[in-house]
Amino acid sequence: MTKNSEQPGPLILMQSAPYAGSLARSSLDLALSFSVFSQRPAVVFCGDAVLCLKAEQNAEAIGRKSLRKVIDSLPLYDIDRVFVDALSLEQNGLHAQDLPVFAVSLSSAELQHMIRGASHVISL
Amino acid sequence: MRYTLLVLSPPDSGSSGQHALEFAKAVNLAGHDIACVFFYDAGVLTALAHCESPSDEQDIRSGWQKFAQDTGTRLVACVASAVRFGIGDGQVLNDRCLPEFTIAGLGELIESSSESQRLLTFAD
Repeated sequence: MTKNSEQPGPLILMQSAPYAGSLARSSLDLALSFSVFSQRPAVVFCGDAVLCLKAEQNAEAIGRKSLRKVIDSLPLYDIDRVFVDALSLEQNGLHAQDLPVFAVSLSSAELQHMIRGASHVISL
Repeated sequence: MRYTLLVLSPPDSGSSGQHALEFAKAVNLAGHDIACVFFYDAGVLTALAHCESPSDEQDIRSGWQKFAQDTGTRLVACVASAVRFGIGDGQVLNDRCLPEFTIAGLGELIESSSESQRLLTFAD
């Protein structure tokens, strides 16, 4: 299965907190799968999901995998479209310098535009 | 129009499981096509056999079984999620799942979504 690189790709709108259940990790697995199938997914962190991006996580202390480590490896799997909702960052007390260097902060208007332009939006 | 539905919650959590089933029925009645209903993360618990709903509550699992029997719609449970949620692996997994469900990987969701005009996510 191939996809024309000019066609819009899917947008994975992550909204789940990192360790409240398994959905945040499953969302990243889904993004990786889309990339494996050359679908060029965009990943947007919104709401509680911005906490996945916090540096210096030590989820191993609760027997889980630190999601920041998973996120840091996304470009290795050709996922280079990683975005963060600026308002959610502010509401959660995070700053742009806390983010991975490849993550781009989006205003609400930019996020709306991105959602409209996606082939599919998977909100989870 | 062709739809792919993504179900992330189990039947007895909130109302999104019921919404997914009712939406699938409505899509079918309106004459549209459902490429597949993909059950991911905790949603795979929908495929679990030998569950009994209280007699005074809607039985979502039976609802999906009947829908699949009546319409031939493909119901797919994610194998990785099934393993994670303890449903099993290999033949054990097949034995523990309802017969109307197919067990497959995320590739099935990605292929289905690439053939669909709409992808809807149902989660709590």
